Amino acid sequence: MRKIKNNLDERQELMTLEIAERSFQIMYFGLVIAILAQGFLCGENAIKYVAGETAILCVGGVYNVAANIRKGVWSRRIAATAKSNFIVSFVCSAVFAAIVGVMNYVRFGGGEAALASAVIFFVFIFILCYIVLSVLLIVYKKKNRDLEEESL
Amino acid sequence: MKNLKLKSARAALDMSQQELAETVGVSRQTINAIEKGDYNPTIRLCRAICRALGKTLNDLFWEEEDYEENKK
Repeated sequence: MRKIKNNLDERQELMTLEIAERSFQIMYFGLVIAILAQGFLCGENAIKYVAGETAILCVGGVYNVAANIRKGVWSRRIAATAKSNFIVSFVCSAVFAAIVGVMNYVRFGGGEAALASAVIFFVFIFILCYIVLSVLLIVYKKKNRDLEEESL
Repeated sequence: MKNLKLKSARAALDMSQQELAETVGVSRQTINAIEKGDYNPTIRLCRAICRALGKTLNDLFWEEEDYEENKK
Protein backbone atom coordinates (compact mmCIF):
# COMPACT_ATOMS: atom_id res chain seq x y z
CA MET A 1 0.00 0.00 0.00
CA ARG A 2 1.33 3.45 -0.89
CA LYS A 3 2.03 5.71 2.03
CA ILE A 4 0.26 9.08 1.98
CA LYS A 5 2.78 11.91 1.81
CA ASN A 6 3.42 13.75 5.09
CA ASN A 7 2.89 17.48 4.56
CA LEU A 8 4.47 18.48 7.86
CA ASP A 9 8.12 19.27 8.43
CA GLU A 10 9.99 18.42 11.66
CA ARG A 11 9.09 21.70 13.46
CA GLN A 12 5.42 21.29 12.57
CA GLU A 13 5.53 17.63 13.67
CA LEU A 14 6.93 18.73 17.03
CA MET A 15 4.24 21.40 17.38
CA THR A 16 1.55 18.88 16.46
CA LEU A 17 2.84 16.52 19.17
CA GLU A 18 2.75 19.31 21.75
CA ILE A 19 -0.80 20.21 20.71
CA ALA A 20 -1.82 16.54 20.84
CA GLU A 21 -0.38 16.21 24.35
CA ARG A 22 -2.27 19.26 25.55
CA SER A 23 -5.46 18.02 23.86
CA PHE A 24 -5.06 14.67 25.61
CA GLN A 25 -4.68 16.38 28.98
CA ILE A 26 -7.74 18.58 28.38
CA MET A 27 -9.83 15.57 27.37
CA TYR A 28 -8.50 13.38 30.19
CA PHE A 29 -9.09 15.86 33.00
CA GLY A 30 -12.31 17.02 31.32
CA LEU A 31 -13.55 13.43 31.53
CA VAL A 32 -12.62 13.26 35.22
CA ILE A 33 -14.56 16.47 35.90
CA ALA A 34 -17.53 15.24 33.80
CA ILE A 35 -17.63 11.92 35.68
CA LEU A 36 -17.49 13.66 39.07
CA ALA A 37 -20.17 16.17 38.05
CA GLN A 38 -22.47 13.44 36.75
CA GLY A 39 -21.81 11.35 39.84
CA PHE A 40 -22.81 14.33 41.92
CA LEU A 41 -25.92 15.20 39.91
CA CYS A 42 -27.27 11.71 39.19
CA GLY A 43 -27.05 10.37 42.73
CA GLU A 44 -27.51 6.63 43.17
CA ASN A 45 -27.98 5.97 39.45
CA ALA A 46 -24.69 7.66 38.61
CA ILE A 47 -22.86 4.43 37.72
CA LYS A 48 -25.32 3.83 34.85
CA TYR A 49 -24.62 7.24 33.37
CA VAL A 50 -20.85 7.39 33.82
CA ALA A 51 -19.96 3.80 32.89
CA GLY A 52 -18.95 4.73 29.31
CA GLU A 53 -16.85 7.72 30.32
CA THR A 54 -15.20 5.74 33.12
CA ALA A 55 -14.33 2.89 30.75
CA ILE A 56 -12.76 5.33 28.24
CA LEU A 57 -10.84 7.04 31.05
CA CYS A 58 -9.52 3.69 32.30
CA VAL A 59 -8.51 2.48 28.83
CA GLY A 60 -6.78 5.81 28.05
CA GLY A 61 -5.03 5.87 31.41
CA VAL A 62 -3.85 2.28 31.26
CA TYR A 63 -2.57 2.73 27.69
CA ASN A 64 -0.75 5.93 28.63
CA VAL A 65 0.98 4.36 31.63
CA ALA A 66 1.76 1.07 29.85
CA ALA A 67 3.16 2.78 26.73
CA ASN A 68 5.37 5.10 28.80
CA ILE A 69 6.75 2.30 30.96
CA ARG A 70 7.37 0.14 27.89
CA LYS A 71 9.57 2.92 26.53
CA GLY A 72 11.35 3.31 29.89
CA VAL A 73 9.73 6.64 30.75
CA TRP A 74 8.37 7.39 34.23
CA SER A 75 7.43 11.04 34.62
CA ARG A 76 8.60 14.45 33.51
CA ARG A 77 8.64 15.97 36.98
CA ILE A 78 8.10 13.23 39.54
CA ALA A 79 11.09 11.11 40.56
CA ALA A 80 10.81 7.32 40.31
CA THR A 81 11.17 6.66 44.05
CA ALA A 82 9.08 5.08 46.79
CA LYS A 83 8.99 8.45 48.60
CA SER A 84 7.47 10.18 45.53
CA ASN A 85 4.94 7.36 45.22
CA PHE A 86 3.96 7.88 48.85
CA ILE A 87 3.49 11.63 48.37
CA VAL A 88 1.56 11.22 45.09
CA SER A 89 -0.71 8.57 46.65
CA PHE A 90 -1.29 10.75 49.69
CA VAL A 91 -2.13 13.90 47.71
CA CYS A 92 -4.40 12.11 45.17
CA SER A 93 -6.23 10.19 47.90
CA ALA A 94 -6.68 13.34 49.99
CA VAL A 95 -8.10 15.28 47.01
CA PHE A 96 -10.56 12.54 46.03
CA ALA A 97 -11.50 11.79 49.65
CA ALA A 98 -12.31 15.48 50.12
CA ILE A 99 -14.49 15.43 46.98
CA VAL A 100 -16.27 12.27 48.17
CA GLY A 101 -16.75 13.76 51.64
CA VAL A 102 -18.27 16.97 50.26
CA MET A 103 -20.50 15.05 47.83
CA ASN A 104 -21.78 12.79 50.61
CA TYR A 105 -22.33 15.74 52.91
CA VAL A 106 -24.35 17.63 50.29
CA ARG A 107 -26.32 14.55 49.25
CA PHE A 108 -27.04 12.92 52.61
CA GLY A 109 -26.16 15.55 55.22
CA GLY A 110 -24.63 14.51 58.53
CA GLY A 111 -21.15 15.92 59.01
CA GLU A 112 -19.70 13.01 60.95
CA ALA A 113 -20.96 10.35 58.53
CA ALA A 114 -19.60 12.32 55.58
CA LEU A 115 -16.25 12.70 57.34
CA ALA A 116 -16.16 9.00 58.18
CA SER A 117 -16.91 8.07 54.55
CA ALA A 118 -14.14 10.41 53.39
CA VAL A 119 -11.64 8.89 55.84
CA ILE A 120 -12.52 5.31 54.80
CA PHE A 121 -12.30 6.30 51.14
CA PHE A 122 -8.96 8.00 51.78
CA VAL A 123 -7.43 4.95 53.47
CA PHE A 124 -8.71 2.56 50.81
CA ILE A 125 -7.63 4.70 47.85
CA PHE A 126 -4.28 5.54 49.45
CA ILE A 127 -3.40 1.87 49.94
CA LEU A 128 -4.61 0.93 46.46
CA CYS A 129 -2.81 3.84 44.81
CA TYR A 130 0.45 3.15 46.68
CA ILE A 131 0.38 -0.56 45.81
CA VAL A 132 -0.32 0.13 42.11
CA LEU A 133 2.44 2.77 41.93
CA SER A 134 4.89 0.46 43.74
CA VAL A 135 4.21 -2.37 41.28
CA LEU A 136 4.58 0.05 38.35
CA LEU A 137 7.86 1.31 39.80
CA ILE A 138 9.24 -2.24 39.97
CA VAL A 139 8.14 -2.91 36.37
CA TYR A 140 9.60 0.43 35.24
CA LYS A 141 12.97 -0.27 36.87
CA LYS A 142 13.12 -3.72 35.33
CA LYS A 143 12.18 -2.34 31.90
CA ASN A 144 14.77 0.39 32.24
CA ARG A 145 17.45 -2.18 33.11
CA ASP A 146 16.47 -4.25 30.05
CA LEU A 147 16.60 -1.20 27.76
CA GLU A 148 19.96 -0.23 29.25
CA GLU A 149 21.36 -3.71 28.53
CA GLU A 150 19.93 -3.67 24.98
CA SER A 151 21.65 -0.38 24.22
CA LEU A 152 25.10 -1.61 25.31
CA MET B 1 19.62 33.57 19.89
CA LYS B 2 19.27 34.66 16.28
CA ASN B 3 21.16 32.70 13.66
CA LEU B 4 22.64 35.60 11.69
CA LYS B 5 25.21 33.33 10.02
CA LEU B 6 22.45 31.39 8.34
CA LYS B 7 20.66 34.54 7.29
CA SER B 8 23.80 36.09 5.79
CA ALA B 9 24.81 32.84 4.03
CA ARG B 10 21.37 32.68 2.45
CA ALA B 11 21.47 36.36 1.49
CA ALA B 12 24.94 35.90 -0.04
CA LEU B 13 23.43 33.38 -2.45
CA ASP B 14 20.52 35.76 -3.10
CA MET B 15 18.19 33.06 -1.91
CA SER B 16 14.84 33.78 -0.27
CA GLN B 17 13.59 31.91 2.80
CA GLN B 18 10.98 30.30 0.53
CA GLU B 19 13.61 29.05 -1.92
CA LEU B 20 15.78 27.62 0.85
CA ALA B 21 12.73 26.02 2.44
CA GLU B 22 11.77 24.33 -0.85
CA THR B 23 15.34 23.13 -1.40
CA VAL B 24 15.56 21.43 2.00
CA GLY B 25 11.91 20.31 2.10
CA VAL B 26 10.49 22.30 4.99
CA SER B 27 8.09 25.23 5.34
CA ARG B 28 9.21 28.88 5.06
CA GLN B 29 8.08 29.43 8.67
CA THR B 30 10.55 26.77 9.81
CA ILE B 31 13.47 28.55 8.10
CA ASN B 32 12.25 31.81 9.61
CA ALA B 33 12.02 30.19 13.08
CA ILE B 34 15.60 28.85 12.76
CA GLU B 35 16.93 32.27 11.71
CA LYS B 36 15.08 33.94 14.58
CA GLY B 37 16.40 31.34 17.04
CA ASP B 38 12.91 30.15 17.91
CA TYR B 39 13.52 26.58 16.75
CA ASN B 40 16.52 24.25 17.10
CA PRO B 41 16.60 22.06 13.99
CA THR B 42 17.62 18.41 14.04
CA ILE B 43 21.10 17.53 12.83
CA ARG B 44 19.51 16.07 9.67
CA LEU B 45 17.92 19.44 8.76
CA CYS B 46 21.10 21.33 9.72
CA ARG B 47 23.04 19.16 7.26
CA ALA B 48 20.44 19.69 4.53
CA ILE B 49 20.64 23.48 5.03
CA CYS B 50 24.45 23.38 4.98
CA ARG B 51 24.41 21.38 1.74
CA ALA B 52 21.93 23.81 0.15
CA LEU B 53 24.05 26.83 1.11
CA GLY B 54 27.46 25.22 0.46
CA LYS B 55 28.57 25.69 4.06
CA THR B 56 29.69 23.44 6.90
CA LEU B 57 27.93 22.82 10.21
CA ASN B 58 30.65 24.85 11.89
CA ASP B 59 30.03 27.78 9.55
CA LEU B 60 26.32 28.00 10.29
CA PHE B 61 25.53 26.31 13.57
CA TRP B 62 28.58 26.49 15.82
CA GLU B 63 28.19 28.99 18.67
CA GLU B 64 31.11 31.32 19.37
CA GLU B 65 33.00 30.80 22.63
CA ASP B 66 31.92 34.15 24.09
CA TYR B 67 28.28 33.13 23.63
CA GLU B 68 28.88 29.90 25.54
CA GLU B 69 30.58 31.84 28.32
CA ASN B 70 27.78 34.42 28.48
CA LYS B 71 25.31 31.59 29.02
CA LYS B 72 27.10 30.39 32.19
